[in-house]
Amino acid sequence: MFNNLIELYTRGDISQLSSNILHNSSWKQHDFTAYGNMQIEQLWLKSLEKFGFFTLSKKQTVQGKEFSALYFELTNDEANQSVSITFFLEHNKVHIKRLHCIVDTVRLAQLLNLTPEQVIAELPSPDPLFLSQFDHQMHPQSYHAMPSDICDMPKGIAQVMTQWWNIWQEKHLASFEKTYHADAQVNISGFGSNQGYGALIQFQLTLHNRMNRNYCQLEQLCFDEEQNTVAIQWHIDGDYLESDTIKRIRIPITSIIRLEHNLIVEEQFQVDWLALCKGFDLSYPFL
Amino acid sequence: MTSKLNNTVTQVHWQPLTQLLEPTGEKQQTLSGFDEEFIDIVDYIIRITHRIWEQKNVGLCYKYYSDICPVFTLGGYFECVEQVVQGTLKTIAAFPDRSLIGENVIWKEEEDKTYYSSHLITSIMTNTGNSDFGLATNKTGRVTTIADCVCFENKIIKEWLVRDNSFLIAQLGIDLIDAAIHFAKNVQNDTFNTWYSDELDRVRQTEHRIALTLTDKNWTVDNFAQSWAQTIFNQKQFSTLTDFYHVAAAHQWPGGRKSTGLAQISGTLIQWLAQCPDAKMTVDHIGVVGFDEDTIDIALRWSVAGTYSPHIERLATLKGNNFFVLGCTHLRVKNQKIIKEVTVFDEISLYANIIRDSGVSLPLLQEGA
Repeated sequence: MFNNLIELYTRGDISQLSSNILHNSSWKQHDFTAYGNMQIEQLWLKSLEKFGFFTLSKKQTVQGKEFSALYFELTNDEANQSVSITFFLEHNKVHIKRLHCIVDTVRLAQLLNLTPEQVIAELPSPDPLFLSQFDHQMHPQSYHAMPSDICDMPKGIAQVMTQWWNIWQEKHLASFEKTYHADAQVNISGFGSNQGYGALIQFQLTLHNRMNRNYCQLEQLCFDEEQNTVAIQWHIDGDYLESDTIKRIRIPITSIIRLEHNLIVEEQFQVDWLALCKGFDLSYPFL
Repeated sequence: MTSKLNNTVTQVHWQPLTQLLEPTGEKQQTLSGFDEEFIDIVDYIIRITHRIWEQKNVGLCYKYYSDICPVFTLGGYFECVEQVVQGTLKTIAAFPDRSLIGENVIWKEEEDKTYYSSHLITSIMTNTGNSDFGLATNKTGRVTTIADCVCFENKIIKEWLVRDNSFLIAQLGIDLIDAAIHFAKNVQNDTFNTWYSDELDRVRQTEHRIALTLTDKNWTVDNFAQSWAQTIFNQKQFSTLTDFYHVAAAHQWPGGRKSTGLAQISGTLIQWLAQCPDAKMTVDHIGVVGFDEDTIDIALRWSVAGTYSPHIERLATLKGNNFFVLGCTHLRVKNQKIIKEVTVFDEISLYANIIRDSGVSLPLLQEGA
């Protein structure tokens, strides 16, 4: 299935991946959900026009039971520019039921030599989203999802993932040190690749300080025992402050993590910033 | 609670359409009086829906609907197959590429030998013709529908139909209240008016103060569903969500309300119920089928009634009017906790009925509302 996904983009092999799609499969990309073969194929063709037939330059997989994830980068060798894409999918090893694809559209704009505004104009209209107000506080005795509530993992991995989640949900910034390897490779969509977690701390502080009443929620998680990789589908809700106006927004995120000796050595923090700007009528740059 | 319920009957979730349309398995249910080709009630529902809607054989409604077939929707009441045929044709004309993607069929064999089916459908459709929503927008939208049908001897003899119209019009670029004002102009027949008023009275009489506590010992699907309605909707005890939902449950409600986890689900329900603070809910039908080893699918048809307390400024003059919703919910329950919920009702018709009842004339947005 991973190969079929890769070959769609590198070779334009639509028919192979079509055999994995059901009439009621859904494919979410740029915060728009395509349903069924016809709509999904249309989305593929648009993607191929923008970033198809480039060279596969990096790949990370997370093979779970019901859910799996894939991260790869496609490079335009002539321009020496690349784009990163993540896929988080529900499957039964034969068919894909539900897939969430996140494209780093900021990097895509650079690769295509387009302005963010030009890319935003060409993205599909995101699904309508009605965000109800809720109590974001972590009251004692209230229940909030933890990684181990969603996926069985070995004790050591589960502990690291709890620490990782607490960094985001509880703002335990001091936990970076015991959670990440000092030389961890961290890639943040739109902010590039960094060695060490310093850039991630800075990014997190900036993000939290631009979003009041923010709340992190886990959606799904899968773990690959052979490769020690974890994929997390999650989102942040919050009040985004822009020009004295407050907008309630939701940022969908997929994080792909690789661990060694119970430390994170690699993380892909994948967000489609330009789809977010389109969906909530925000101006770029977001942060 | 066994989750290995009815596991020989067709399950839609992982089946390719080609397989669903040409089932090769043996007959799984008696289906007395049904055409011999159908192997079970799910097969019947999936194939007749495909034939009528996707193959556009509208006239097959004469074959698969009884002459007198009450169809209840929040937007109107239809009584006979002729009205079903006309309504189907009208919708296909306005949305010619409408697809009906079957997501799930939850069913129950009733004591009176009828089969009850709750069919969750996703439709993709382009609005190229004028419709009840207004002039053609030429935009493509997606909509979730749940059709609850009573089937007997090869025919649908009664139906409750709910559609997430507010989500559809958000994609078509139509304002919710404008659409409701348009809908409110539809004159309802006497049967609808009697049903609407009787249902309001019935649901309002619900005794909402009785505690329906759920324990491991008394856990049954019926108790779970009744307790869900009583504790959350009637008693508004939102901290008990943890008794019903998994901490990362996915929750889809009309108009694009998508929540995950207890905090967000709580917010969605509080905000929605606040527009009808005295809301009472009754669960009117429960169906359950097995999904996998430790997971079951539950279909609920329910009603909510109370008094409208507007949170939308444009509807402020409607305060104190009757509030009534016909809704359907599909729950996926794993180890006694909801992991996924899809709830559908027609929010446009909800507001349209309030507007019509009030007799108030409201301006459209372009008229400066």
